[in-house]
Amino acid sequence: MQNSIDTARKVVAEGMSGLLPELLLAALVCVLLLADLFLRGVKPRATAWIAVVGFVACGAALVQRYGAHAEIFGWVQSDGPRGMLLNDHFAWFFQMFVLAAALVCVPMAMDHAAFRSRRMGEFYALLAAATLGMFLMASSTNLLMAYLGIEFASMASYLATAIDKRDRAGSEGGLKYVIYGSVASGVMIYGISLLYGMTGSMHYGDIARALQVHAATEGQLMIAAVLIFAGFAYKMAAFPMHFWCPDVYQGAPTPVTAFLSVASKAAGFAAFVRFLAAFTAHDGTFFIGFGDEKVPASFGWPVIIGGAAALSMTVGNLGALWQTNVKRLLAYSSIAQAGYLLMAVAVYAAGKGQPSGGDLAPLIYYFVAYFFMNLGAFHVITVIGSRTGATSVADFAGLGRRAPWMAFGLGLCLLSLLGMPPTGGFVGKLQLLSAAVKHDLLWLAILAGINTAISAFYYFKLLKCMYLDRSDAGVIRSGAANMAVLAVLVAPVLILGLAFSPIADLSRGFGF
Amino acid sequence: MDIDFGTIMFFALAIVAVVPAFMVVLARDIVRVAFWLLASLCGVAGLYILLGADFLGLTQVLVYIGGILVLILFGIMMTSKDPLHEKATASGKRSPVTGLVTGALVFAVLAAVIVGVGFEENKGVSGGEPTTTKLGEVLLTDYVLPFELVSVLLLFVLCGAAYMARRRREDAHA
Amino acid sequence: MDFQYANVLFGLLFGAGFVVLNVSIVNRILAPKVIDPEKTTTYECGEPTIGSAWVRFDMRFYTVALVFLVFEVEVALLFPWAAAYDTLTQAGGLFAFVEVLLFLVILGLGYVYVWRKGDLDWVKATDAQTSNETVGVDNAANGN
Repeated sequence: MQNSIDTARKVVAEGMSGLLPELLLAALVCVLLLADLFLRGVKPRATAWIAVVGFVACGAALVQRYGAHAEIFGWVQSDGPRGMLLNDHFAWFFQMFVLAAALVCVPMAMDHAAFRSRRMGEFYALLAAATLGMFLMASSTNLLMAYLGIEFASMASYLATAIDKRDRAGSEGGLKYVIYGSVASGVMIYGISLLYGMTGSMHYGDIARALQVHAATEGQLMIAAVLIFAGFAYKMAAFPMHFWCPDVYQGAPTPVTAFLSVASKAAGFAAFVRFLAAFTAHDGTFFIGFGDEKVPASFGWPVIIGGAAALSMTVGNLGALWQTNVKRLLAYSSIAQAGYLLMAVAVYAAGKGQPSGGDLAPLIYYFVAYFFMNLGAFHVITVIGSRTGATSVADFAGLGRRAPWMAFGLGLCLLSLLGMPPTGGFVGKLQLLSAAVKHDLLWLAILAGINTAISAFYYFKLLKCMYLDRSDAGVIRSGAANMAVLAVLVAPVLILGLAFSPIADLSRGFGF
Repeated sequence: MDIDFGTIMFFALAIVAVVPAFMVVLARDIVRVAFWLLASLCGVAGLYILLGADFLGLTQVLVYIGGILVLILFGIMMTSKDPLHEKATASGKRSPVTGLVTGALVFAVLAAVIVGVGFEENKGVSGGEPTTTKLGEVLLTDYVLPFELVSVLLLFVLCGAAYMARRRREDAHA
Repeated sequence: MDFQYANVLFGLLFGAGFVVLNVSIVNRILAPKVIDPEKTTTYECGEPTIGSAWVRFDMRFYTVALVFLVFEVEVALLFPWAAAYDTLTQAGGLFAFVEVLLFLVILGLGYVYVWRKGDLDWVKATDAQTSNETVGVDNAANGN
């Protein structure tokens, strides 16, 4: 006992220094909840500014953590530490990603009708809590931490979806989200308990070691892994756990939708890729057989993930075709996008079985592009929606004349989501397709191509509506702050499509 | 299988857990469903204790039976305008075949995995001894980060739940 | 399979048996059986009952139950700490104490929140009382 206490003290002392961004976020949650109580008589936007200051401070701490490679908290065994969190480049990228999304959502929320002229300390506290959960998801090296991170992010998302109590659609979305989410969470923890029973550990490194000697068959392990995958897929909004997506995206306040579609998805992917890597042996070979029949994977993760990817994009794109509500359309679009992103994960899994090793660069690049194009699209929808009450595709008629810059930004983002040059989405998708072909996933690449063609229908439907349909409605004033946010979000979509090689080089540095 | 005291206890508790669980699905009155759930949860708590997971059993009684079930009953009583015994559930209106087939399939797959794997015994903290003390020790040493984070989780969930349950002023005055 | 809680089981069965024996069996044997209309009423010597017992519950019960549930989970997490406290303090001094103190302080913030927001106020303020401090905060947060 003396030993374990001493070790724990040491581990905590070492861990605390590497945990500053997370501690700041936790403090921000507390401060925002209390600020609403004790800061009376100040302007409604004060809490939003507290949130901004908190996020920026967290960002500064995160920047300082760049380049770290440390497994923190947990315990120590003779052959090394068994951490709860692993701060590395991969975690850093996704944490920065989530934080940036949260930061963009603050001005969007300040502009949104549901939050304007109110003190919404609770909302920003939930945003900070969700961000904290996603931080944990991105750096978790222990299934317990991954699960805790998912619960953090989920609980905060459920509440944020239904935050506007006057809005019935939001309440309905929140309720559906929480019910489906509880099921997904239950399924996942069932899978975790199975895997724990098979391997005797929840630490990814221990799981990887145990899998090499344990006698669980491929089928048994597969069932545990698929159950766990269901929990991650719920956060990614990917098939087969995508069905909550349209109702929640439509019902939630648009800033919340934007945050969920970008940050929540990224954190889900980050946590899943980390879990996936636990199925990799020490020497780097990817395997799924056990004991005597241990062989590099032929059937296994690439097929399962590839199948989920193919179904995600097909379900998403076909579902989007008939949508008339813009947020619902983008919800289906984001399911399809999850499919493309899963394709990158399938490529990574396939690469793990080959001497070259897995390559995460296409995933990272696509996520960078996805950040700007999806947030850009949602930003325009928030701004237009809060000024005209526009919700359906038809409401966007004549936007090219009524708000030319907003329409231009949205159009560019849509083209990028579709994967047209000269946008970031095009380069991202090209990298995905070529990587898939290189790793013998030709069928997946072909399906992705067909899906891109299908998706052109609904992206162009919205584009046509904005530029070709006539409308007598007046000009929409968007405000300078919103224009600035638009520029910040849309310019990189073009930059990523034109000057892509430096960013592609950079994206190679954020793998494992 | 030799019949000893533990085996008899197991089957007794299993019946307490499973039979009410069936009644939860079959009963048509939602208040009765809640009370059948109470019985089922008691049986599961007993099973946990029988298996040496005393802390889990305690938590089951404390949180599920003492907390969540009360919340469910409050929820039922709060939302109903009519006398409660008329609150029928929707079960029985649909064909039970789909549900039965799905349930049987899920059960078969999970049972096959659980029986087939042959979990190694006592991999966890328990060696048949009471687990609460050992859990306390690891919770405050190896798992201190999740332990502290749970308090933040509970904090914002508490505030969020209170926020959601709070009526708007218009409603309060109606 | 050993069952180390046999004494608990015995106590449980003994208690249940005691209740059943007294309420159902002994009562039936010993109680005088005189039936008149007054004795069959709900409260033999109290107010006459009005209406049905199946009434719609007030929202306040639910709010309090929610708050109770969260703190109950907290208490459940304190059991292992209490059980291990002796060994932990002997080995590591105040380490375990400080950890749990932090845990409690963070959750205490939640208590401050529900208190200040007036979620625990049983008698809610009416229109005339909106200047009341806690309700004033409540209104500000709920769009006013």
